[in-house]
Amino acid sequence: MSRPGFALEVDERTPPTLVRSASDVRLERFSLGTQIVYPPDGQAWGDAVSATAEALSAPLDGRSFAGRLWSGMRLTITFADISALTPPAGDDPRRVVVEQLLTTAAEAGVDDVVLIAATGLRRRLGPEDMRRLLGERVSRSFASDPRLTSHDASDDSGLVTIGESDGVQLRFNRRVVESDLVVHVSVVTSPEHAGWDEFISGLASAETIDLAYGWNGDPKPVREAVADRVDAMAVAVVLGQPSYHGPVRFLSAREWEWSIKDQAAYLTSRRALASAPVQAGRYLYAARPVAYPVLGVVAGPVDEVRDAAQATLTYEQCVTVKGAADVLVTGVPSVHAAAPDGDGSPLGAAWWVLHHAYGLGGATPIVRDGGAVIAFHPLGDRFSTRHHGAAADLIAEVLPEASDPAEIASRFLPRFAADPWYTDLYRQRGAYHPLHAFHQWFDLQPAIAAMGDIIFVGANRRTAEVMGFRAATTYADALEIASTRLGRRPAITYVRDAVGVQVAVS
Amino acid sequence: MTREFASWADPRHTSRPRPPSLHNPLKGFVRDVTLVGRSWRWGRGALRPGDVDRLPAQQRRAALPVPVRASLRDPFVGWLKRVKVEVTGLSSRSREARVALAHVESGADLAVLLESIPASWKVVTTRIPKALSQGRSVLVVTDFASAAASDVVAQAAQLASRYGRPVVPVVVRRLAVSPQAPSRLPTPRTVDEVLVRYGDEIRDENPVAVAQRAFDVVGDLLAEDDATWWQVVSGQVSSPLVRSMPAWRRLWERTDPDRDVARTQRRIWR
Repeated sequence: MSRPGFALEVDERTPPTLVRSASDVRLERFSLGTQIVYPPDGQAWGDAVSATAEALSAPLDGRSFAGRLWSGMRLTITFADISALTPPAGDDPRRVVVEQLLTTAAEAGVDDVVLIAATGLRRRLGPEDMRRLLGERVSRSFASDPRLTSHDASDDSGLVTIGESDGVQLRFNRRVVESDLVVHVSVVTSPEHAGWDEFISGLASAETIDLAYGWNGDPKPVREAVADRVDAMAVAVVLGQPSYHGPVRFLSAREWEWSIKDQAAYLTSRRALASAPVQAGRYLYAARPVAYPVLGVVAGPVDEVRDAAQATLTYEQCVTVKGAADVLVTGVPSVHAAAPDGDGSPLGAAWWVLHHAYGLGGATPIVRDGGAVIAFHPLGDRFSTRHHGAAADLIAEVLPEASDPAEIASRFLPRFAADPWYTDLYRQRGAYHPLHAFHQWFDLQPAIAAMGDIIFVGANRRTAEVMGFRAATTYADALEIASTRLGRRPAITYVRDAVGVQVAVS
Repeated sequence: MTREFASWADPRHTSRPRPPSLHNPLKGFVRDVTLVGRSWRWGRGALRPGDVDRLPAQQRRAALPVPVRASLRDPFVGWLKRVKVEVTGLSSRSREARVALAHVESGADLAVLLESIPASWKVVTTRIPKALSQGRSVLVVTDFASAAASDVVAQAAQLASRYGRPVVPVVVRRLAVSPQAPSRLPTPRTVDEVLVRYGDEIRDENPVAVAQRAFDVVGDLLAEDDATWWQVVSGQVSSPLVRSMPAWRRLWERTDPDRDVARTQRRIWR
């Protein structure tokens, strides 16, 4: 059985609590009455193989995968990219699903099979990424073969028009549209995963993604056009909270359960990372796979699969806190959805805090309007400009000029999108698409509009100022800043680990 | 319109970067130790917060299982042991006892195999009948090529059928590197790459059928090496298991960079 998460109210006996700030780890003492949200423990080790076999033979609509295959058909398997599972899994469940899909297809005599990573505006995957996601068998079987590829949102020859909306041609991956059956494989660890939105944002053209999910975007016409043209089946693997083992067990263990070994490991890691170059921290976290418990596998129509997977996830992850907080506190791990390689930009860190962590409450925000967000991250300038070149330029050139999303969307976005330099970096050099950085900035706007103060502890003051945030040296200083607006005794909620948890406000 | 910033944070204001200073790795160490040791009681662990005492008893303590003995797949430990192990096909986390029937070619392969087998299988290599009846798994190894291999496989299948246990075929393939010459100077360590492939479980009451199926599955697992997994499952290649060749020759063929683009190129081929 998995151990459910819970909200701990800090009392005199509560030990200092772990906080992550990029690759740095620290212990912080929270004031009495602070609610600390602990995610569930990953204990329920499901069997991905049998669960996948069961789901494929009995999907939600009763149409088995094997029954939809015939010899000579065009089958395309699409799968969520590396951003969907952070930190990376030691044994990625997508491998199990894809292997079973391919085995069934081979038994049915299907030869025309293509595998496409639904990367959308995120960086396109290389051979090592494919191997990590799909395992040695599949990646080696299709290595150096156009049958295993990443979606290219700027490749005109690989895109086909499926409709029009607001004068913009809706274009989608050609192979997906022309296939007899498309199976989309998702891993579900947060509310954003699975469903048409993941499918579209991973396989449409850059202009179409911008129309659907950009500033004032509307995904509805795109959803309708895609659902009309693509015969899609979804397979979603629902995963629980990742658990660390060995020398980094302290990252996921609750502080009062730390053994002497955990304490020594914490002290050693903290000292070592304080002296080591920033790349050492990235290597420690980005290269270290963790184990995920498999909570279930669902297959069937895209919408139904998303609903069923998200219902399972919410049931397993939900932690109830007492009332909306005045102050939301959270750390930012080194590896997260906006930085799957552990080399994310300050924009990605802000996205993790103000989009992901701020949105953990779903329709009911964890923190009240006019409240404050305190996050731990250096917002440093030492990130991969190879992966995040457009984000670096957005911070250095665009944000000093304007921060209003509407102005940015009209003045700067078209220039970045049309710049062949960025397009070439995206298509050939493993960089994120320039629109990705803009969309991250747009995603922050609801939280920026709702919060009175957004404070980053230990942050670079210039970067924080440019992004419209405030920087504090210590957590106490951050509370001091927030107290001018919220008083001396604000209600504080600290989300210890924003991976694998959802928060319900009672 | 250009935004206005505080003077101390204006991004357009270029200041000279501070010269790098030496970092004292012990700075703050005492504070860290004090924080870690807070509410720690020797022999009884840390004090528990009051809210934890109000939780149901089964939720107070974590019982962290390690489902797969993955130490060798840890990049740091793997580097120390000069081996990079990739395990495929091992996704079932059932604790049921089984007969692991492994194809190994050397003692080093066997050592890696023993590390990759999940601890929950409680595998033993001696007193096999008793172990199977007690719910422990057993490991049987052979090279699947020598004259005695058929007997070994047949006996393993017989045991599995008698105790109603599944047979799990396993193949260990090692991309060994040539031994390094001893040197007084520190040299970069080369790392062995080992693939441990687990096949699907075989369940049948007929031991002859189990043995035959075991040969087929091991052949397919080996064929993945010489061809690819997709070519094997889609029936594009026949099993080359019976193709007898010395271990060095198989290694030579497997490391051909023209044959296998996905794999890291080894130095054997110049």
